[in-house]
Amino acid sequence: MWPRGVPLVGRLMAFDRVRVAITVAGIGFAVLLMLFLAALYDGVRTEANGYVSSRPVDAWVAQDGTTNFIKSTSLLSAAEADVLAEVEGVREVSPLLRVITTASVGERQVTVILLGIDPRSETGRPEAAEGDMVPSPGEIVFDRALARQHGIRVGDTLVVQGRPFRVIGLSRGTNSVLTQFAVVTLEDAQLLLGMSDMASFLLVRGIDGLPPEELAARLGGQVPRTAVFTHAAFSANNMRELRGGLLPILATVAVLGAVVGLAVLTLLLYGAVLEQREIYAVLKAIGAPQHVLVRLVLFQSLAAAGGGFLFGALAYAVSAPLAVAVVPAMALSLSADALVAVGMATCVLGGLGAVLPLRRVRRVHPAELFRA
Amino acid sequence: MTPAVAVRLVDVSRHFEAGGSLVRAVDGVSLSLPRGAITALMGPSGSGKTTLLSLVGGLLPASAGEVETDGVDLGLLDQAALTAFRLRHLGIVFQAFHLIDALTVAENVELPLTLAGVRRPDARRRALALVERLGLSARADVLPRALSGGEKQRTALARALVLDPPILLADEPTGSLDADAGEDVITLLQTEAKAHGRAVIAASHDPRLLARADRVVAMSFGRVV
Repeated sequence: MWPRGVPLVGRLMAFDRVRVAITVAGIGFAVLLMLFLAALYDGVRTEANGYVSSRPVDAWVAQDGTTNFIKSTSLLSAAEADVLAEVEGVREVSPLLRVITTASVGERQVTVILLGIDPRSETGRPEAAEGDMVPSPGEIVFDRALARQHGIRVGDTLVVQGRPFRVIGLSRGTNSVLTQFAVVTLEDAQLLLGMSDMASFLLVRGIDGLPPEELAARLGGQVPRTAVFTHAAFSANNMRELRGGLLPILATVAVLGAVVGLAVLTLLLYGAVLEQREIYAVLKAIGAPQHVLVRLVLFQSLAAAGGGFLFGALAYAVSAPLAVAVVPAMALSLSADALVAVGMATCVLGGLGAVLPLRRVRRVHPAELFRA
Repeated sequence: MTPAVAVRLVDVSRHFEAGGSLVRAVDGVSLSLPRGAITALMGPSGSGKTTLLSLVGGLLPASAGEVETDGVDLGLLDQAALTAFRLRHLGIVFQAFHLIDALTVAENVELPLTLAGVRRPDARRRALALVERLGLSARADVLPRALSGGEKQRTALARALVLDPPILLADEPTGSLDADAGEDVITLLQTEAKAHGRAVIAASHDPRLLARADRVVAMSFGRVV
């Protein structure tokens, strides 16, 4: 800290309000960018894997070679569910068919991932945001973000590959960011695909008390050319796919945001040091030790970074709901960990931002004050 | 017992390179400057007055010779020790005042006390007492931009004196002041020298200051003449 006494740091910052405001705003916008990207990162992670991770199942069965739900093709015979249902310890097997298709909403064409589920089973049903989640033939449950984006409401009728579907409900946790899910009956999905008796995955629930690993082991090899995963392993595979795809891009842009914040801080603090050169020379002349000057610069830098963080956090709180209102498919979920991480990154920026200005302060010579 | 000599210079030189040639800003100067007196350094611009002040204050190192200020050989001190030495042993007044615009008069005066580790209530009390002694009580809480030139220089003087240094260095202390304000400052310098026993060393062109100095050292081309 600056030595207890004259509040020089505060006075210098208050005296140079415009520069401080510009610095705080500059850092604040960089923080805002980092928070948005962190929230998008978390949002994509939770939303894109939300449907899979929230299934009330113990194991997933897929075509051999398929490891995840996000980036894979898997085709199985739905009838194989009957084979697996006979395995000891299995309580329920439910087929799920995934079809990428286009729905017509008035004049617009919307790409959706259509999930055909067994309406009698809970395993495929999405989480309800509004309306009914159990479709009958000719009915569809639509993702709420996609519905908001296209003005679709419960009761509307959509056309999918020439067939009309009535919207009976809006779901949550079905927004995979780049595309969204819609849910129909398994039979409707098979009709749209043009292949009856097909499923993409078989969702398996075991009896109470049976460990998922044990269940997966029992299911393995029961049906040729299939792969069996515990629910946790399948969900982890999806997360791995996400981390290897969009998320590194977001992380890269977040780092760029931090670099921009650092540049703004360094530039403006460096300018402040140049402008306050006389003050540093006076302090040196009257006997301020080097460590006091270091603290003076560092504290200004950290104070600007702290102010920038608060500005950015406040701006995020205001702008995030607006952004989601404008772009409903945007999945924002800012976790406390992400907030703390961005706060710590801003602190580091505050420290790094003082490095070049401090080098400049070291070169200020008190003898120059004698030049009138 | 405090020695009568405040500053002793033995064959001191300060040379530097400029434009490929050697400049002898101070060249072989030997002097002894007393306490309790005003010593005026006079001479034309570039004669070495200000460089000599910088050498005495440890703001510049000597190229050769020995600078002893308040009994300490400055050549033996590193930068950190020189800085600490200035805080306790020297007060410095500049022609351009160099007050900190963001601080009030009282806070400018209090600043060296803060640097010396004096706690706020005591520092504030000492600063205000000095501000009162120098006739600035009514201006204690205003910023320097609201002061006249004379008030600024008195504030700078108060800042230089607040830690009660034995030596006061002043670079053209009346150079930016009108006649009345200049007269006031010279009187204050005389008081500090005579009543408080300080060694006041002032570089100046001002004939009034030269007339009231106890000793005048004339310089030309870096040498005492």
